[in-house]
Amino acid sequence: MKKKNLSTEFYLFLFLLVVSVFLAVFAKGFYTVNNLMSILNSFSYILISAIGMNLIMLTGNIDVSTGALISVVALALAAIGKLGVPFAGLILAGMLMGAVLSTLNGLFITGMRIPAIVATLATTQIFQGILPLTCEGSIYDLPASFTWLSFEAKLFGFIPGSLIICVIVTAFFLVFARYSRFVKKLYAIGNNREGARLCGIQVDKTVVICYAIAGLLFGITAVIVATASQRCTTTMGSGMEMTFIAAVVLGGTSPAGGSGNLSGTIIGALILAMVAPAITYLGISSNWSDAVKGAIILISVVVSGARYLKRKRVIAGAAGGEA
Amino acid sequence: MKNKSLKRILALCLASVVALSMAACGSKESGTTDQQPSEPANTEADAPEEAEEPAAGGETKDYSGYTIAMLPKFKGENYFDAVKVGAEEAAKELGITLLYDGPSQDQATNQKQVDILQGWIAQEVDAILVSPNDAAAIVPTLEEARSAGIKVLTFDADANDGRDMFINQVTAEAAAKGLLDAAKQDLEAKGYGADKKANIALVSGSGTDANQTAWEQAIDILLATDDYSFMVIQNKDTDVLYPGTDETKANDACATLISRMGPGEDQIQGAIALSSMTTPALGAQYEAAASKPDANAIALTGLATPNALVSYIEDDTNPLNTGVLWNCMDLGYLSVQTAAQLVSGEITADSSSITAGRMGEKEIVDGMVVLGDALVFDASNVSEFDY
Repeated sequence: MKKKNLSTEFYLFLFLLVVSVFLAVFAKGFYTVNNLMSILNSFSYILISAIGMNLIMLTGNIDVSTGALISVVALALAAIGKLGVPFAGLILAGMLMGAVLSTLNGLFITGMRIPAIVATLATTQIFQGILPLTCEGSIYDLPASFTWLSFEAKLFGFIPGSLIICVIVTAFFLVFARYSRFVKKLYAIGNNREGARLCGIQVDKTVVICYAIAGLLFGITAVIVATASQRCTTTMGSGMEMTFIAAVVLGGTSPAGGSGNLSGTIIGALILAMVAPAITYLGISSNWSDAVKGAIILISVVVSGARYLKRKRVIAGAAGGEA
Repeated sequence: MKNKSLKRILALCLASVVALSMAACGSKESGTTDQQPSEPANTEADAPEEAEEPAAGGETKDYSGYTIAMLPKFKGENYFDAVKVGAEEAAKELGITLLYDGPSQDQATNQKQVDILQGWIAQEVDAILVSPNDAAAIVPTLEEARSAGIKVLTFDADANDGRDMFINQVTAEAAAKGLLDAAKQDLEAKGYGADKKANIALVSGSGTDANQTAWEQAIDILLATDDYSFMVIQNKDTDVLYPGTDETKANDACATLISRMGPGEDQIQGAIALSSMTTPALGAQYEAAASKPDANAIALTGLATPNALVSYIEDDTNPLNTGVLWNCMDLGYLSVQTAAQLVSGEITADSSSITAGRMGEKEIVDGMVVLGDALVFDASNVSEFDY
């Protein structure tokens, strides 16, 4: 039975360990405080949204509009940040806007019975379409109050504020995932939607709430990304949804829903955040980083797919036998 | 029942989408057929050329009725916004209509520029000013505009072919020299020189941009000369970065670069950014860095508008002490002046000089007008600029 406990997270952790040792030997200067903190900063904004994406994907849904949503929220934040609104106001506004926009996604999917990927593709276009109408490409020369999180907020003078936010959010969701009935409902819906409904779970309502919670998290990512410099463009979040989905899938959550957990997502996000800097430190052109990311995800999906098939065969062959 | 009505609504939506797209196709076709009647319109546009002889003696020339369209690489960023201000100034002075449009930053691609150009060709504007994202791919569209009788000029970045004139802000050699001078000035002040070499890195843009490519080449040539040979690019694969035109990617790439900087031999001492997007990103990522490399051991510089850098330059603890640029507003002004005079026939691509309003006389060489030298700004003068 012990063999069964060698979960995706375990293999991922092993992989991470091997890569870390490899980098220590071959990538000179990789383990400097500066580089680690900059990796942890990207890790933070990836993980916070990946947690939200994980919740959505547990229900068997998906959200491909996240990148565009983050762009919208980031630009709106820049607009109010230009007026000198402090960080507390920015993060509240960001979470609120994220939740509202993401709830719209949830309502489209449940209310109109549109498959999640189609609905969120449509809202991606809408979000991207709104942006050029509201501003000419970017808002710049933003004040010091706007960049406070990335420039000033440092615990002990070197731990970035984004990481602290990330730790708080992750800790909360680790507890939440373990003890709340809500998250158990998400697994139930992902495994068997009709069964969940027959068990008395209000499927539509749960899915909408799930999107709303994810939206809160997307809003936090938008705050971190937007406040990274004194300029906000209309494309702050472009393409990020793929990184989030990748972190979730890499972490062992099945795209079909119903299985996977948060600790896998955490390691997945860390691996993805490390790829680009690691490649530069190894002396390889950064053009390779996307290809390497893709290869890592592909291998992980194939491996977990193969293990799933094997387990199924074993169970089918000798029901109840040692897996 | 509810489902049925939903289906009906969906069907209606689909039908209207189909209808709309057909209508769009139709209008496109009519757009191309429009080009036949455009010929008489062109002769009209050419008419002032003949009428110009008597007017040429007079100081005030009537440009009203001209429509000049300006296409930047992308909109909504300090640099091109400053160009736009100058262009609007010239347009107002000359009484012409100025159309200004461009792709948004993430979509700074050739295709988006072609879409906009097609619209202008159909509108039969008199002249088009383009700063191409891709010097080769834009050429067929420029040729198309020219064959429709539109004067085509490039500004800021040249196209490989297909234009009548090019308004060049600065030659590649002068830009490269400005950038290296700025880096050299700062690095030498920090103790580097012939007996203490400095590793440098370049942060470029998309990799297809004609300017950046030319500047990189000119920088390479200059680095081989004695004056600049103490600055070395160790590994072209990792030390010449192409983060593209996306803000978040530029920030991430610059963050990694900053963490590789420091006084050590295997570290990087100087970073030069070649786009108005990545230079501020260097300053910002230095601010954001967890343990900052010693500001007295490294130098950051690059092309950017003074406003985008002012907070870093004025901050003594930030090693971004210099920036390089030309007068962007003058570039816009000169571009529109040149375009208007080319349409009116006052100048042709073969002319040897142009009198461009408040800027006075500028030389024309092989159809190219050069604005001037690169401008290096630092803490002493950065606050004098307003763009």
